[in-house]
Amino acid sequence: MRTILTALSFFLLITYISAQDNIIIRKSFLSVNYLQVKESANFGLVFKGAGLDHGMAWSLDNDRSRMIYEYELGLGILFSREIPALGFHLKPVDIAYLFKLRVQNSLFHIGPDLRVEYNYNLYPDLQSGFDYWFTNLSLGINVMYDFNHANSAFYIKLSSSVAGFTSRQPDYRDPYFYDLGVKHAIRHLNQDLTFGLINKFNSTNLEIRWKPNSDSRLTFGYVLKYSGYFMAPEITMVNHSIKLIVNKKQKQND
Amino acid sequence: MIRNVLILLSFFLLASCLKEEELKKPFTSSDPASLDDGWEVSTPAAENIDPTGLSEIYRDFHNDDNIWQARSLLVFRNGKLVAESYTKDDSDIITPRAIWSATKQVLGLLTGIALDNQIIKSVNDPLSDYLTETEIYQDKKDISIEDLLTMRSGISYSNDGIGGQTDDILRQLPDKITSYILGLPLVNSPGEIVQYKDCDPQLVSASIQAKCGKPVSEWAKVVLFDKLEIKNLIWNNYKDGVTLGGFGILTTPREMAKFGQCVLDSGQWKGSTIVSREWIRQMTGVKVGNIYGYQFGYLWWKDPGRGMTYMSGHGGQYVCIIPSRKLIVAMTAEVNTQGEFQFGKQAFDWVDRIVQISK
Repeated sequence: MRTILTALSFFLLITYISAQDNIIIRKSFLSVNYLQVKESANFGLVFKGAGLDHGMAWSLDNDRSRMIYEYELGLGILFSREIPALGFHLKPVDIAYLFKLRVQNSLFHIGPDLRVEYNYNLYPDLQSGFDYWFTNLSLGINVMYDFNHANSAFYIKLSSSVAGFTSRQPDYRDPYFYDLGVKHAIRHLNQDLTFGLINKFNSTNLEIRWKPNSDSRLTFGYVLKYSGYFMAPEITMVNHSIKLIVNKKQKQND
Repeated sequence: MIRNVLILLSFFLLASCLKEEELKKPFTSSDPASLDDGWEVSTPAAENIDPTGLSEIYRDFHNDDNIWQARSLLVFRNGKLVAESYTKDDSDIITPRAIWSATKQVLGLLTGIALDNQIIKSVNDPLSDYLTETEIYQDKKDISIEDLLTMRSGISYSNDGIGGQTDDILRQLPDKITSYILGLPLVNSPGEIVQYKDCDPQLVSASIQAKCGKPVSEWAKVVLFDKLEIKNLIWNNYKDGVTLGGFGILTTPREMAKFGQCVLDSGQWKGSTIVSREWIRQMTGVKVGNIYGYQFGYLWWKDPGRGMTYMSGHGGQYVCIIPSRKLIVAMTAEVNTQGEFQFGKQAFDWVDRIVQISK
């Protein structure tokens, strides 16, 4: 499934680049996060802490549409009642294909969003030996709104999953035996993927960006991420991020 | 516009804070349920325990946020279940959960049954009488059963941490558990140095199994669990079929307490002899003066200050026997916590409070 999606994504990307007169914008970003994780196996405890994410994004714009590819990698250290936890986050693929839509003087982008997200958490002093994960390969909708105000550029993005495949740790595991290690983590994150709609899981991002002026290479952002899995074992993750985006390059491709 | 954005941001910041749930239920009642599981149910007053004082203890047990890991507290007196309450989930009454090292104390009882049945001839027997693997690992052949029961094998083994040998076993990395343990270095002469470790009872389990011809978990069902009317118990075998000895049992606090009652009644359960009185005396006698500040018999713990013999498992799984009061207190807690986050020996403070109101 992932191979097909990756191949399809690359095909769309290449076709898109070669067929259009595009402006290609490359960005990298660093975000400081305030993370909250409520995992049902943790007896109602909420783990809160700080994290750091790094990512890159490529945006291809033309008159009619915008295509965005983004990846993200992050690490967090969380605590609940002084009990430590580690959280890893990887989003290797986030592709949005957005159509431009003018409503009066405002410019909207709207279209589908294909995303692969891995979340992997360890609670060494609470759930010794066991790993916890939430994977989702989702198809959703992405809406962007760009506007200028007093020489500053603003950008509001809302994306939300609608359907996809998810993987979670089993609701019950023998408390004695466990598998831990990189090899097992990779296997766990990709095992037993099952299909679900919005009643089973949801991953929603709201992002607000501010570019102080049109010449600035820096953009500042705030992101609110929500991820939830609503079947047993349930999980809720909320992440507030302050994001610093560096606009790397802009080139015309015609 | 900027103001609207800031208002929106503030709203999201405030609205998106996750809230911790109540980690324990409020106390409602400690009246025990009649389950037809072999326990006769009674009341605190009938067994000379102050009912008001006991209710207060239970209320505190539920309300004390410092022991958020605790799952159950059960009080038995004169062979009867007097009070019970489950702080998180009432299904704990019948749902088996890991008792970790309290498995060792069950194995202690089974060793006595093995001696009573001549499966083990004597605790002085060398390991070579039981395990053919000692032909390969010659340095271990003189380790006696008693050395194993008192944590004196001399084998280099660590229960703790990633990379420790218990971690290897829990991840089922070795193919053969007995060969794996016997293949570890011998760092002390057998019988010399005490070091609390999981490998010693594991070799006891392997020795009994070698003579029984079946997993100890199966044999135990016939000679011990069925006789104690235990139904809610699972005992894991290692992947090569050898029953785990240092840990491996999942059971309920009610079932755990039956092992305690059997010890309190000198090896009997409802008048039938399960284990010889002599073995109970030996097993609960002091064989090691100090492990972690407590005394140790044949795989059983003793707290001389409290006049208490007890079972103890990782995370906070306890059965505390106070023979002078004919009292048993069983407590369980979350099973995979580590270090200071376990329901540790502060559990004994609750035993003290119950003893104080038991005339």
